[in-house]
Amino acid sequence: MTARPLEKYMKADAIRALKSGTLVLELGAFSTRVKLSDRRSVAFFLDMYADCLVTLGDCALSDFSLTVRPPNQFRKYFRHQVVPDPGFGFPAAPLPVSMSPLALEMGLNLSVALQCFRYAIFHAGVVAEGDQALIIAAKSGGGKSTLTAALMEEGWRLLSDEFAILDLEEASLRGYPRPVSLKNASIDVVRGFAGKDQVSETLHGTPKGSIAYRRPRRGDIERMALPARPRVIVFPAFTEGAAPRCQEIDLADTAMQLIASSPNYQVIGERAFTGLMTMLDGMKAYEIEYGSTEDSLALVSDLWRSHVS
Amino acid sequence: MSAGPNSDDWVWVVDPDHFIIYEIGDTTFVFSRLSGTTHMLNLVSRAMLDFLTGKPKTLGEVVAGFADYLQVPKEECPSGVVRRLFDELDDVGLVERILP
Amino acid sequence: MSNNQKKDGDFLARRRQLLKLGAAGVPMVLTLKASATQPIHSALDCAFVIHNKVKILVDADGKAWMGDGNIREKNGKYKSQDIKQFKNNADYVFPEYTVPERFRPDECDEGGDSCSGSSGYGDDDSGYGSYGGGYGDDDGGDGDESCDSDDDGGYGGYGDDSGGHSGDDSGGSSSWRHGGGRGDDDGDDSSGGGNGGWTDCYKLYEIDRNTTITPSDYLNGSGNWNLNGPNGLYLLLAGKYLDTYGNDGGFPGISCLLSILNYLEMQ
Repeated sequence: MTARPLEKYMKADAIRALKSGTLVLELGAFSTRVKLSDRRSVAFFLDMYADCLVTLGDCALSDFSLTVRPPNQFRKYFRHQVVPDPGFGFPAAPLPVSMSPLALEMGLNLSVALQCFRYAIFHAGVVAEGDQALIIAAKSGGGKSTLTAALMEEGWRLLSDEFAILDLEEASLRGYPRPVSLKNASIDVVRGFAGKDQVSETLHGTPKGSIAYRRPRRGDIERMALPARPRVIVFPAFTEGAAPRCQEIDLADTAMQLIASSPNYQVIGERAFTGLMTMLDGMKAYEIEYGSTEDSLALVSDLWRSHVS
Repeated sequence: MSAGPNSDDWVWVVDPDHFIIYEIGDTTFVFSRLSGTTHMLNLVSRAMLDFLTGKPKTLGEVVAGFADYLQVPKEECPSGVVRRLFDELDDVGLVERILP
Repeated sequence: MSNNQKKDGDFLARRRQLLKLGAAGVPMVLTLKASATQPIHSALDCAFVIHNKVKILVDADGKAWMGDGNIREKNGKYKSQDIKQFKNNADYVFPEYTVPERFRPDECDEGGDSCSGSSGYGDDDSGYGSYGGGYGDDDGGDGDESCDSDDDGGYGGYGDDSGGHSGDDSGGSSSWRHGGGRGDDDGDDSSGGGNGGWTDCYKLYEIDRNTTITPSDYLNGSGNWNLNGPNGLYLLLAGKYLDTYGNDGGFPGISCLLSILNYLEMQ
């Protein structure tokens, strides 16, 4: 059965498949069987993944299987809660059903982070210009996702907001263009430049504050099979009112930080080591600090032009 | 790694088949095939690794010869420092004892 | 494997600097950890292990000695002879005012605290010249003999602390010491001239072997450093060293210590 964009299916069929666990999301390097039980996460999925390729039906094989469900029978009926269930015991804190989209996104992250052994995974965003990639290393509160979304507006292709997925044979990065997660103040910033229809409803009061998602574009989905060779890695730091600053950093420190951020480096072992070192060969790494989106884009543009062009 | 204190007469060697190394600037990344762990060495610990590669040495020989290998005066490389450095490599399994 | 020793002077100098750090107990091998469930984002989350026990001796002027010698302690005071020995054999020495006041001892009960009044380590114009002499060679003992009541060389015969200095209260012995010790030491010998060889003019910190230090543990919610305890002091001293000798980028875990440098540069 050939995968088709979700929006090409009858809505009722798609909803039935989601609720029965017979929808398989074919996104980038991974296929995930998704089962959702509440209307919020279903509506979110139909909206944010409208351009993504899916297969409906029992026969499709998948790498992962994710169910977003009540933690127990009681919570199905009273003070509704949900947990992401990736098919193996994982201690996830239940969330109110109003936050089920967050549970879905967390569950998709967990599925890859804890079950992928074909590729080395590092916690970072990745965008590309053509077949050359920029890695945006995930520093908490540093503005990774806002920068990712801003670069998308500048014409960069989204490979992934959450993971740098390293092909161990080719030392190139693979795509997994899921919705870009935005927190707190960045939500309105991105709504401002991407447009309201590109950003989901905001979820308030989550464990991470307010959260919304910027959908991946059709072009990102269509080109997701194209790998990209990373050339530059940036470690962004947003500080209100800060003057733009850029500092080259040692690749050895970069390697150390990437290894520390990887959920599967240790498991993969030698191939992850050689893959990472090969990937870093010829790359440049920078810390960038800025106080506005405009400054962050200017910094990236300068670095990219000087190193890649 | 030994369970107790090392004797100066024990013979040690570094087997290059048991790990892969990759240099980035002055830093050497070492992936140990025996443990699956990655370590970072600087110029000094890398020198100790190189010093022990190939020809087995007793700890006494290591202590006696390492300062010369580094081309520094002995007072800058006292025995306590050499032993400590050796112990670091021993603790992570990069040096192996050759049993008699 | 690259087996050739790069012989250029710059390379050898960098390696020599790192060797000095190693002599102070700073680890030379860093083992990298990866976490399956909690990706670590920040350079500050790195950690390193102190493989061997480290002791840090601090005087009232903020001078510090780092080593692993034994110092006997009784009722909150330290054996002066041991203090001297420790200083003589210290792996590393930091000049006055290196250590912030919160790590320094309270006032000595002899009323003075200038045991380390001299910076008698010879060529320490930069303030850090003592590093070269910190390996137990003869430079190590010069500046502080005046504080050691049972210094054989100074007293010429009072080999122990059995009370042979009973008459040597701080006032009396200081002038004697100035005569017999380093001429440029105008501190008194409150380290125990009248104390039977025990002094409370120092504070001793100890870090057990195989202690893991995670710099981010010393950062509070506002992003400010809160270096406390022996581990905090260790980080501070290591950072001071790097501040002087610079960072060539080849030292494992340097990002840990660089973060500390930033803190020190802000002081």
